[in-house]
Amino acid sequence: MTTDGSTIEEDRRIVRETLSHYSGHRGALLMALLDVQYKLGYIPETTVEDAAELLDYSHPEVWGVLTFYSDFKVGKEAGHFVDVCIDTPCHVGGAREIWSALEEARKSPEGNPSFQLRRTSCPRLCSQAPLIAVDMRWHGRMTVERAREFVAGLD
Amino acid sequence: MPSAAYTQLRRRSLERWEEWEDESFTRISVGTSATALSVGAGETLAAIIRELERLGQPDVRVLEVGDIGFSWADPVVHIALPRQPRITYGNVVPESVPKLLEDVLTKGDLRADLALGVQAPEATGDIPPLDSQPWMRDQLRLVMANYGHIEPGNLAHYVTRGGFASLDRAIHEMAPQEVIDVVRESGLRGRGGALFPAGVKWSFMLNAPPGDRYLAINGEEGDPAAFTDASIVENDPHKLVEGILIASYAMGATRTFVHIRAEYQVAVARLRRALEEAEQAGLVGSGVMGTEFSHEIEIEATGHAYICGEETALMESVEGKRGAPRPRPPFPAQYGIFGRPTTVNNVKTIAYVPTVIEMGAEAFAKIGTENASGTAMLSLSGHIERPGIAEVPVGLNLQTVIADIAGGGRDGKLVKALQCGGPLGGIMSIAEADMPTEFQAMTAKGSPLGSGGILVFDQDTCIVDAVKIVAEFNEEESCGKCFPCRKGTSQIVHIFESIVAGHGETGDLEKIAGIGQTMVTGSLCGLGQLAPGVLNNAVKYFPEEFAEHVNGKYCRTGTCSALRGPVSASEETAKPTS
Repeated sequence: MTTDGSTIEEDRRIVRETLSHYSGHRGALLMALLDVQYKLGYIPETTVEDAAELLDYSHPEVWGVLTFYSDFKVGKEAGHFVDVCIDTPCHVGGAREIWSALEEARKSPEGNPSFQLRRTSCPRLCSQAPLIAVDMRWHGRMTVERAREFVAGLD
Repeated sequence: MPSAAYTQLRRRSLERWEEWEDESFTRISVGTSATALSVGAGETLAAIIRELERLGQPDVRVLEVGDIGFSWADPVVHIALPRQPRITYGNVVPESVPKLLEDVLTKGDLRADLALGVQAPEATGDIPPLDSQPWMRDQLRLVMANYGHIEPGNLAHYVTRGGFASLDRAIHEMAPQEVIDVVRESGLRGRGGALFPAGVKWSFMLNAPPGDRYLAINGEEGDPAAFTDASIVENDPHKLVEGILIASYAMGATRTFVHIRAEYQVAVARLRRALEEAEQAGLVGSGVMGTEFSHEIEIEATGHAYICGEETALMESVEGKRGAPRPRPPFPAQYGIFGRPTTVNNVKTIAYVPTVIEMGAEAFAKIGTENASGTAMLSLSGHIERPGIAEVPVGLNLQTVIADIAGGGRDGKLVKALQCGGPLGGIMSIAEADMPTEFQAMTAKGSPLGSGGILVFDQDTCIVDAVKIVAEFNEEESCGKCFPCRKGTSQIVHIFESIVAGHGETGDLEKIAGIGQTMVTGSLCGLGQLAPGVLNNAVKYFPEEFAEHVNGKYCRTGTCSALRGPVSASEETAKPTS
């Protein structure tokens, strides 16, 4: 699921190849973009022009869809993605402390900068709250200590 | 009388089922779902396979089954020794697998210490019947009947447990109008939260113009703390498929769009398998079970937007667009997806349909209360001992749900409040919960059950902070189309931010109420109309806590760090959060 340091060009090639499967399908923009997201773990910004061209939409239409649905994470390629759910069940379970610990683990001088920290919308696994996802895989019953261990092991 | 097609399907299914359920072998099944996998069920499964090899037990059969709903005990493993009842074990982490298997399989020690119960009417030694346990004895599992018993998406397993008999009966023995009548008389109401009688909704389609008609399945389930829709798709996808086919036959729908978040990868994969197996068996596609009735089912993956739980927004989303609500009229039954007549039903509503046909209207209507028949599927989360999924007869006392099924406050703490029905539901104090778990009664209390999410807050939860998170959620999820909602949700968040920062002013709460009033009257859909309710309700049940924050600059739980806290606040915040 991760980009494994693959180049921006390689990611874009995957984007274009994925999108082209959907050309000519009625109402396929949303599904095509989701497919990109699940192949790469994020949506490269250049996807806007690629989707507009290959699926015959205007740029604002593509941006409109990308910014409307909260599962889309438009951004730049990074080694790893760490997603933290902050909706109410995770919040009252201690998500704020976990977020702070991860932010600290990324930014501090002795920390590990190889991951991107993202807030994500509720994955509906609330009976195991709080949760974080490391490279799109969710881990429940999270604690500050375990979250720190997860990111310390990323390279 | 079952049709010839069904009799044949059933015979083939029993043969396939017996490949797994042969009493002369030991059978081990592991409950997997996205929730169980998030706490290591996959690793437990791998450990079991590894350990069986090490123990030299090649005859033991291993199967992935659905989730039985006991999230608190995940990973859950069921073991049935030859000709013995199935015993359910909880918290089977990979590390405990070697000892458990060695004891149970080779030493004859059934490990009562790890057992949650035996799936039989009588106890086995010290292991009590699962159904007698406090978290099971009040449950009535209609939709959840197959949870934890079958391999999700395996058609043979579903049919063996009675699956598709209702479809067979509906399409061979009942006219479409009769199906609608049964559903209407059963009192089945929309389980997405709106509670509209399902049979009445379906009957709107009968006056629709000729040509293609669509059914859309609403699996958006946008409320954080509500997770039963995804659980149905994950643990018993054929139940949904059968419900879709019966509903479509009744309405004359030619195609169904199952609107589900792509993020639910386990659910999507299992639904896909369920559809493939159903298509191969002639249950989906042209000429269902050899009749004139044809139906296609498509999975429409979405990227999650709360507003898409609203039916006209959902239709926009199915068309691949931004999910902004459409004005009504025209109503969906006249002009829906791609302009065709469309009915939108929630996953749960449709999953009840096979049971309604099987039981008949009268028997189904007898369950529950006068106002609402059947069961309620509950998502239980928060500060409780036993988070998970439960299904209870509508009307069971809500405090019983919290105390017995959910196990009360976690770590012996007192329960303070419940948030029911998600960010558009309401917050009530636990003292108020001595009431039936019933849709209309709870709505009257200002805490509608909605989609069935019950999030529990313990004594250490700051209500103002919790409500602020809800307000932030509604701000984020407002689609922006209606000005009062777009601006109102964000203005409310600003006021909350200033309160928790210690800048609260007398009149803040009145200001919030006033903004809410404007949102209620000036918004097109439920989001803007209902969002203020949560705030009003919280203020109603916890007036002192709000007054302390606004006027006293004091947070009794020590959660709001900019405010004065209790003396022990520094110790409280230093505690680990798990």
